Amino acid sequence: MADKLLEVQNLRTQFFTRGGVVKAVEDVSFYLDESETLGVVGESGCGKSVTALSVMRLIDRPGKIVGGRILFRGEDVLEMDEEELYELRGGKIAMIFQDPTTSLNPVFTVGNQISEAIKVHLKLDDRAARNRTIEMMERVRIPDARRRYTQYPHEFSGGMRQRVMIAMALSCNPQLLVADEPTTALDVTIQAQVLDLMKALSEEFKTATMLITHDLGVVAGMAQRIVVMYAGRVIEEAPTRALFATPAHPYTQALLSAVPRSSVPRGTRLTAIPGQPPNLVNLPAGCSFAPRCPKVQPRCRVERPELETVGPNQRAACFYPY
Amino acid sequence: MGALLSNLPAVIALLVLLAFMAYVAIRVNPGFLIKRVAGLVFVVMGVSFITFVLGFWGSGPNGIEAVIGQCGTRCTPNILKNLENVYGLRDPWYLQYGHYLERLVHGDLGLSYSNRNRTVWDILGQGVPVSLTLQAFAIPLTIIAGVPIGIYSAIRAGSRFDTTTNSVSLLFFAIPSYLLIVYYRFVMVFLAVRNLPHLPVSGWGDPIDIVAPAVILAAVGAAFFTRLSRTSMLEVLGQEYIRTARAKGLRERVVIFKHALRNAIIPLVTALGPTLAFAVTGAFFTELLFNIPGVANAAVASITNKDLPVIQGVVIMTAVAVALMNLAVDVIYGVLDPRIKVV
Amino acid sequence: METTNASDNVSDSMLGVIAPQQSNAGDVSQQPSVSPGRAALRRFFRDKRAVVCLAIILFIVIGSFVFPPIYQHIGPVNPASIGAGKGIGPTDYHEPAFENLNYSDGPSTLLPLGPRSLVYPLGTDTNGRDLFARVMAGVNTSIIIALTVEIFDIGMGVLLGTLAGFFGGWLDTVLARFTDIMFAFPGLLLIILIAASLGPVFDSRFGSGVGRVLLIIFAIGLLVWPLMMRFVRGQTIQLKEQQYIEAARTVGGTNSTIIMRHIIPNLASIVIIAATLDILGTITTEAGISLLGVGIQPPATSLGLMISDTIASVYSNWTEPLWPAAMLIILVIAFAFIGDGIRDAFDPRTKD
Repeated sequence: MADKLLEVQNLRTQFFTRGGVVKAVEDVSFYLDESETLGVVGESGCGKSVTALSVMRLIDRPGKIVGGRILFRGEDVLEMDEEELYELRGGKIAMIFQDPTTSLNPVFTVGNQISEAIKVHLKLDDRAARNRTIEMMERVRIPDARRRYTQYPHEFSGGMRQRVMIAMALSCNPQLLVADEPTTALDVTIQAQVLDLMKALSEEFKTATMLITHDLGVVAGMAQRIVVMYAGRVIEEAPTRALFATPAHPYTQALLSAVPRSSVPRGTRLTAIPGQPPNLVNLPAGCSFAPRCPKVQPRCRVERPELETVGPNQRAACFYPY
Repeated sequence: MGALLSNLPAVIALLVLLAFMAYVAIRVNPGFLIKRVAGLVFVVMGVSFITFVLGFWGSGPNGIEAVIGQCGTRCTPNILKNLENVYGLRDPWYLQYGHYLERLVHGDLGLSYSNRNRTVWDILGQGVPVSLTLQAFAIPLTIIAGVPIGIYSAIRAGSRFDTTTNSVSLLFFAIPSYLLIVYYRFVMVFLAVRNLPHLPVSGWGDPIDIVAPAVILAAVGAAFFTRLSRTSMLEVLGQEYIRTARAKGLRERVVIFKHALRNAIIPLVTALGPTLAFAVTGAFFTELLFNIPGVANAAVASITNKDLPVIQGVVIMTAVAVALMNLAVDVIYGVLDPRIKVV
Repeated sequence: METTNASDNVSDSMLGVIAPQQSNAGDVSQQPSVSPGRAALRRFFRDKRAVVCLAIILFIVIGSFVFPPIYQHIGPVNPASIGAGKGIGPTDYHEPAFENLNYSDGPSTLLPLGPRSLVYPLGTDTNGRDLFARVMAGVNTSIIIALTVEIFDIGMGVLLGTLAGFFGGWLDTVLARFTDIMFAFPGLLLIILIAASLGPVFDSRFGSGVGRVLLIIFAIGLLVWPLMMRFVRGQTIQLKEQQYIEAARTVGGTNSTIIMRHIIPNLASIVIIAATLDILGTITTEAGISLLGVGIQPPATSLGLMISDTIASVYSNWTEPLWPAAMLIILVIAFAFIGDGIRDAFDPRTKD
């Protein structure tokens, strides 16, 4: 097995707001192998996007990475200087965002926006960058790429815009693609197309993918392993198959029972998780999920469970797994 | 002030206008232009009608109070009757207004009531170059001072520079220009009394006269543009495409000067439109308190003298300028923001 | 797939408000949610600068009504005109423009200029008039005009703005064309023109004191409401597209209930922000046109009129102009900071 491509160790990212310190990411650790696809799953506000932005060092004020290490091929991203970061972003790690409508600059042509990254990272001249851009646009299956090169984002449909984002991200042969909810803003029919495209391209380009989503259905067919986050922490980590077959953490179980599946007998109700995710400024003592947990025990309210091995390659942060 | 200096801005303004009209004629579709011209005609009618009614009401029975000043004590019934005939004051108001519009179609703004043998064009022709000269210094100063400070302030949001700029610009934005002028006077008088070097407190003619009014006008305008460009830039910097640009590995310089700035100037153009449109009448207090013989002075004098045609002229000129500037803003918008189609 | 209980959640997430939550670990089913208006109020009161300015404004506004009647008992007496040796009578203070506060001491008893004393806290002006009394009267004029204009402004703006935005159609077209005309006017010039041409009418109808105040209210009010209307109209059109309006309609809401219950309450932020700016503009415009001599006429007073008096007397007494101008600056800055605070408080991006 190759070296770890990305290794996040005890990452802590906090937002210093007027209302208090929001502990968006607390003590998060995970890793990615070369060419692997890792799913990061959790409901909105659980810290998965902040984790992704932290990996890119794109956390803006009032946010700050306050602890941990992010090793990319053994080099700590948190120790990098500006120059190294410019090379890292887009060149080694590329990112796709949730909403392709707002993620593309409305006043520049699509071609301009893809090629500027190519010029920076591949050091190509205008003409070569243009050719490479058109080639990338063709590879993400944008029809009539040569003409669309000079069009503006608003002249593209939502799915096409996300293809532009994918083309932009993969254009500089990154080793890691961070996709933050890449299909959430798209129509259901387009979602599958875009996911298939991402899967095919990441295999073709041998790019590892960190796929962030709130939708377990999305990661099921894409990821080899899944990390489940809740209230800023990793609460379960397992190979995809194991997670779907034997979810250890009650939260994961609840998430799975809320997914409509054909394997469940007809007439079974989908269950919702009662209550809301906790406030990240004042986290309750003990397990963050305790207030909503159907299997909560007195111990859960006073003591926080650590991630522990509960099965082959499967770890969960729960005193009473399964 | 030499003849060249006072005419240069007018000449430049005219050339810019012509170039713009040519551009519009080529780029913009004729239906849109026709709609705009119809709008302009409507606005000019409305503006002139309101002005006419107010002026007609204010200038006494049939404007006679205004023209009576032309002969003063030497007025005889005969002279008065003559004057009434010249200005058509005997007609009912709707006929007078109708005649006025008729002349307007031919570009004739009529004769001044209070100045014998002077046309409105003549009076405006004296005031407009003066006002434009003042603004030709003040508006560039406004932009040069206001926009970079606002942009920088947004980039350094939350820093001491930002908070200071924010407060200072709020002060200059809120404090009316006439108070600045009054205090400027105090300072200059204080210096003058002590025989210290100082700038003139009023007048027009010497190049140095333009310094204080232009700076004061620019200070007030720059405060507005600082705030606007800061807000606009902050808004843009919070957009997701800025994050995309950073995630691409672009240098911060490129992110700000290419991706952010290009979007941030769009609202500034909207604000620049009225600023330019009201350039001629905008420096009201500045012109009056500095005793600058521009349009504002002519307008106030004509209101005092109940000189309806001159007031009408000033108002119509402004309305046309506003309409042209709105058109210009729309066209520039279409260039800056590809989402907006200039139809 | 949102895993939270959707119906509980929808009101918060739709309005984009992060409800400040309490740390009650046990009770999770219902987090206290805060209405956007209340949240904005809370944010406003965290802005110290704005709160201080609000306190100053309240002090000045209330003071401009309360202090003159007190001042008549403890202040200097009127040696000449109405009942020599007495304080200025209460009826004088009930004159809208407090004209009689501007009494002259008369040449004989005149403290020539400036010197402050126990009798005249701010000194007297060139005509021997008590500056303190005049500043109070001037501020009062400004406040009365600003508040009345604001009532007119908000009334017209909200009424016509919601109607135009909600129903569109011919009313919207007519109002849009009308605002086009109003926006093409050089504003100050229009006000001066109105003041000059209608001044005599108002003077003869209401007397020169009240008449001038009414005239200025009329002129400024006429000028400010189209902008308010345009703001309200834009906001109404946006609100109209919101899904909860559609929801209200499907459960049988009539136009009037939708406007009253769903549109108007949600206009609060934009109206308050615009009104703060308009108050500021009204105060400075009134002072400006009075300064030009077409606004408030002597013997009534206004801050602008006092400033214009001082332009001449600055050579002899440089402290005299300080007071009206300082008062104007305090008013303007305080309103500006309040407006800034309100805007930030209502801005959904400045969350907690």
